[in-house]
Amino acid sequence: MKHTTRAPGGNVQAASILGVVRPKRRTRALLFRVGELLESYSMIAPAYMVFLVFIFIPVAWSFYLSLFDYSILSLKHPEFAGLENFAKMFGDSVFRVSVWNTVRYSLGTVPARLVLGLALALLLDQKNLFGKNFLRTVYFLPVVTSMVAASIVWSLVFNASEAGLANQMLKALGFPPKGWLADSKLAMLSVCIMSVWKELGYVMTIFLAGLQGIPLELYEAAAIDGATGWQKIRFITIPLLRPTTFFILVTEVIGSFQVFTQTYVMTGGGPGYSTTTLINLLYTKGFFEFDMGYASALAVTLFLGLLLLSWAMRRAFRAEEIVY
Amino acid sequence: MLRFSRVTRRLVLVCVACLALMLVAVPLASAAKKITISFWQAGGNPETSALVRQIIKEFEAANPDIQVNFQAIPWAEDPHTKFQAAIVGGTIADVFTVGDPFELVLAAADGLEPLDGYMSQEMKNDFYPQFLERATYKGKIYALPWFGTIRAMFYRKDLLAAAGVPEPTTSWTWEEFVTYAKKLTRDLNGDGIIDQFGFGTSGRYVSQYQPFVRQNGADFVDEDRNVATANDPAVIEAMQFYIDLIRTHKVTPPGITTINLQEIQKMFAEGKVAMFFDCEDTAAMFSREPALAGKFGVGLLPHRKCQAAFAGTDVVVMSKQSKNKEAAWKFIEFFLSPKWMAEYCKLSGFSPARKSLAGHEYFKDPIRQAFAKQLEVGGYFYFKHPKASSFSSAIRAEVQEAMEGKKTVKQAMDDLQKKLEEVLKKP
Repeated sequence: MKHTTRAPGGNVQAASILGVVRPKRRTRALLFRVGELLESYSMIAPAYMVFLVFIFIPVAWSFYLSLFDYSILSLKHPEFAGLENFAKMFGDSVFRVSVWNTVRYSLGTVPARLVLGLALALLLDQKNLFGKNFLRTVYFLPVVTSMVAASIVWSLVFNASEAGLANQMLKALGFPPKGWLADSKLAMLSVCIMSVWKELGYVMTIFLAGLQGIPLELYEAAAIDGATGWQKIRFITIPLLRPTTFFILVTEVIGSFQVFTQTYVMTGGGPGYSTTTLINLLYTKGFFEFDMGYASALAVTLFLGLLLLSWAMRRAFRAEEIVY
Repeated sequence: MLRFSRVTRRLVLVCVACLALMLVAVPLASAAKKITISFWQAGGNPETSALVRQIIKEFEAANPDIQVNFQAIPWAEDPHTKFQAAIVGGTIADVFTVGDPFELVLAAADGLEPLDGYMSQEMKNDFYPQFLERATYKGKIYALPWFGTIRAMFYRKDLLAAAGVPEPTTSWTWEEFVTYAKKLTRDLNGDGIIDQFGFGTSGRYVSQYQPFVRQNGADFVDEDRNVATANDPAVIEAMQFYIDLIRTHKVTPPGITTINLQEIQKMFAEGKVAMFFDCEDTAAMFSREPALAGKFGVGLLPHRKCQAAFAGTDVVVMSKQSKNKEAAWKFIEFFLSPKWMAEYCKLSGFSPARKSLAGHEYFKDPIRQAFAKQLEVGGYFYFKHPKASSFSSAIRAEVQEAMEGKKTVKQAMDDLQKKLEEVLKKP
């Protein structure tokens, strides 16, 4: 990129105004630009190839497959089915249940993560808190734990017998034991509790990073004006964390719609269909019942739903430039 | 005269020796052009893989012109899905093992080589016929059993003795089973809370309740007629019996609708569950547990109209895409030879699939005999239908709803009937 300062376009333009452009020169300038573009594209090509092969092509392929009747087992070619998979999907009561379960999971985890994550971040952001780094590590540990391992440990916590940790805690508080994962009324709640615990550290870390970005002068000025601690949080911290909150909200909502491992390991989607989420259904249809066309239709629907949701959130949170 | 140090002289000597070796070895290697076949195992752990490697080594020693590349893909990594992808991609191994009924799925998809033509009559006769029947698709045998498994009844000898219950060395009737299960459900420390349950089971696995249906001479689907039979009176009666164990007689631990089998195994080992259904590898695991030594036994499942227990098998198949079918068959023959089958079964605890191993000294131990007996008197396999997996997800969900009491057994089976009909309707 050694010629970038020469601005060849400008030269050509200047020359044409003067009416003395020789075609040869123009071609050369054009060639130069093409060369420059090629150079730039070749720089990003390696990274883009990875995206292309592992993301774009599979995504496009699943759009394509959603219009086909395709069992990945039969080595026959997929048969075109038009919108049949989608018609089947909207007529499928299990699909409706799984959408509702996914929404329930999202509502059960995202707000809790946001509120608790912010509270933790505020607590652990205090200057003279003893053992601050240790505590941050502790809260972050679940994030780096394998989801399968955590799910297995939590199914022991939620064991329906007297010996389960959750039931022992209830007993200590004087309540009767519950069925937790085996009770269709509590199974989703149990999964949500586990999932909030698992991802809380991540939300906390992002909020902590956001908090570092707020200038201290604002708090000092507020203190001079006689603001209380709560007022500082309410009128400085929370408004200025808006971009961070938006980021967390969007990623968490998207993430919550893709929940799979916890329910797969802890309940297998049961009891009944009470914890079958969209991705659970997709997995069952695609990799257990081998109906890839239907599974692709589910994936496409989820994709479009998330696109719409992200767009709506973006509008609601329309980014105001924050000026300090 | 030049004088070399001892080290230099040694070095030179070593170099010369290496060169000489290479001169001899290179033409040798190129002269015997080896056929390379690959062998993939679905499942396996470090111990069994070590044995498989040993078998391969012996095979290569006996067949110097064939080299076998071995790969084990643990169950946790979903080997069946990988195999599918490899078949579609044209990179599948020449020989591989799968868990039943996946061989039928692959045979239906035209991914496997029929083995009838390779097998001698003598070899064919040595396999138990129900395995060969199972692996038959449109009149051809597509797979050979590596070992068999059967879910027999595990019981705690000490808990049965303490409750005055006889051991299930002969199959009980359903009535006997309920009576004994109730006797084994006990509050041991008198605090009003049950701490020992007669029967451990889980709503998560069809293999836990389908045996009752089969014992009543029925099934959720009639495969011969290709119709759903989930609300058949005999199915409803059997499922009512199963649900009653949970909801009326309360002989099962709480929270079993979605429990993992491992948790039932744990409760059994802790003495909180007196009886449950499981297969050979669990028996092998318990046998290695010093705390359980002499405390557990394996017997027969109860019966009503007939005896029935959920059987399974892991089979060896040859890919239709294989380019070295002769070599591949040689390997299959060696791999499934009585000698190595016995070794594998000894190690894994599973039941051998060849008749010539029935009298093998090692299989005379009472636990192994119990499994063999159960296989003989009532081993049945899961559905053969290509939509068998869709049956499982539907059956599981409805049975769980009945277990929870959200639906009566009749309702659940009526709903299941509709779902199964829909699954069967689809081409």
